[in-house]
Amino acid sequence: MAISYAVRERAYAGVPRRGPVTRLLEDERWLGALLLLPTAFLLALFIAYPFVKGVLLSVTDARVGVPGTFVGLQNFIALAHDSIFREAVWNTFLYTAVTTVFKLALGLWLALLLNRHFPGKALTRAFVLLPFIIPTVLSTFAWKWMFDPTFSVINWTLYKLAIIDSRINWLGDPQLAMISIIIVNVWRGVPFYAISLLAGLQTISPELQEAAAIDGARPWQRF
Amino acid sequence: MARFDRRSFLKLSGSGALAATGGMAGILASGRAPAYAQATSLHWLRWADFVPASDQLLKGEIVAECEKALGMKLTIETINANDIQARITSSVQSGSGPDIVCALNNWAQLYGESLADVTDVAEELGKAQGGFYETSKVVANDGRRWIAVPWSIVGLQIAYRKSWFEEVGYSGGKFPETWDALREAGKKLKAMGRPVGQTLGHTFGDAPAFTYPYLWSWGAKEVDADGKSVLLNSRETLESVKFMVGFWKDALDEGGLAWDDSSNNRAFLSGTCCATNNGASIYIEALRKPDAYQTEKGTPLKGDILHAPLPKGPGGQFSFHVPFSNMLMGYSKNQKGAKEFLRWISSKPVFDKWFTTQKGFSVGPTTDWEKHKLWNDDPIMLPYRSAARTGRFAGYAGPSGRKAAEVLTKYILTDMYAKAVQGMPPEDAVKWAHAELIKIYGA
Repeated sequence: MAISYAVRERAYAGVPRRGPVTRLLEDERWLGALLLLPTAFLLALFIAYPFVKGVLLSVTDARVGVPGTFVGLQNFIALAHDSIFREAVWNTFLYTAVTTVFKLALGLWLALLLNRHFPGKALTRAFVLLPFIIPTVLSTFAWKWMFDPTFSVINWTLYKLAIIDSRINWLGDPQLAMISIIIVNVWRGVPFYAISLLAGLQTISPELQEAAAIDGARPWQRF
Repeated sequence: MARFDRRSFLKLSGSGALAATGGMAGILASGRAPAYAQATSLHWLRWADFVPASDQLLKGEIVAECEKALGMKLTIETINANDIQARITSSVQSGSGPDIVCALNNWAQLYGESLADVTDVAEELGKAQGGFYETSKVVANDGRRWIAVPWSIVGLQIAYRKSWFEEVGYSGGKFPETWDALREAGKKLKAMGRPVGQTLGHTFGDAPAFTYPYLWSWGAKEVDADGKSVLLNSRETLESVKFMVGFWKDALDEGGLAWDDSSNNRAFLSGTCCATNNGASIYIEALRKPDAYQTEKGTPLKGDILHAPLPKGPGGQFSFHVPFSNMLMGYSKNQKGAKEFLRWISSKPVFDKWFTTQKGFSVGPTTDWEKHKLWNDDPIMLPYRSAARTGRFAGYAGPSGRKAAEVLTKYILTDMYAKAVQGMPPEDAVKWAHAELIKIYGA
């Protein structure tokens, strides 16, 4: 009994007086909003403002150093008739579609392989992530050298193995150039897709797999 | 240990943030950036020179001399040439940046409204040093006033392997004088694994320096002398494109579609191409490291390199060199100091120092520099001495103004040849380029 009194008194003595500001900050809704304010400010400054400014500029005929006048959708109409623009848009769609399909397929396959138990599993999973972690500048330089019109190491290897007898024009031929950059992007992106899908696969309880196996389901059915 | 709960943590961080905001608000309230720059300083933006010794001279000796002679603190910044336009754009839009920018080609014409009038400095310079070359004048003058002070010209010539051309019949160091002759010689050399090297990629130097004079040598041109009617779609242009397609397959390195400005240097120095249109940087590099660059016989490569102008076509023989001009930015707060600096840096004694380190890679913007004694040092460099005299510039036959600059920056002529070489029918390639030019010239 004496102990509980002492505890209660200590509790009263230790509590400071709470002013109005402190009470406001104690309220989770207000505190949450306040803590989000810096991020919201940064996002507004570096993403929202340039975007809005860009949209506003796109409906004027402004040039560098020359403020323009409002011209409506004239710029967009001109772009729609521009063959270079249409080609660039088509290239972008093609590139995105093909790389996504490959990254998804290869990433899923890699994830399924990594989902099993084998010695060195943790090390392999870490290693597999390398293409994604290496700074893009470095990997781009390396690939650029590998595809170089004169000094390509891929060409050199294939030549020495007598598979080709003249250089493959990786970056000069339009189709090969697209294939080259798709290869590089897929190389970079597969680990990311693999690890993400692996995380999802890991949440599937192994008991489900075992139960399905016992029931006689084949691997594809199990998947 | 004192209890450190959430409340105290928030109080601590809150007061810290408040202090920071207060400081930030103070800076913003004054309306100016913290005063680090002084009025007697000058910021000069240049490209990272292909001759490193010149940049070393500028950043070392010249900066020191500028402080002594003009009392100004000079800051020289060198960046990749391809990035200069982006810097100019952002500086003009934000209203602050380098005071003087050394622009290439006719880029100054694109920013005419944002540049200060430097007619006084330029006229003085031209009179004092024997008159400007045509190339220097057309890119720095917009017809009414001088918008930049010409600085130098990088001459381009064909660098070729003397011994290899001897093997195909050009003894005594001669070089094919017509396109047909070069195609024949190149065919034989390509069969030996030594094609001619030329880029048709999007690079500011080597690509236009080939495609523009090539077009002119067939008698074709972009626009009329009035600068209004587009004349690209002509019989001469079509002939030039058709020839290019055959020439490419017969005699040129097909990887050239993906080459940048340094690729042909590397290809030539490693012995994989027999000739290439370039500035003197290939020869200068071979001089710098005679042991690193050797012929297949083991002799230094520098002894096997010669220079020649581009071959003649049915319409004549022309060349295209890269002019450099110093633009004084309109937003600069140091206009008077900058003009003084431009007078000083282009003056004979100071420019002489820079010119000497270039070893002939650049010529001066005026004809006086042809008389300089460094041309007597090395006969192999002689073709570069007066190369600038035969130069025309982009936009021929009209003025080399903003529209010509746009055509140049968009690589329309280069793309015309590249598309044809990649398989587009020549007529379609020419029609495409013509349409693009009409979009820009509006006629």
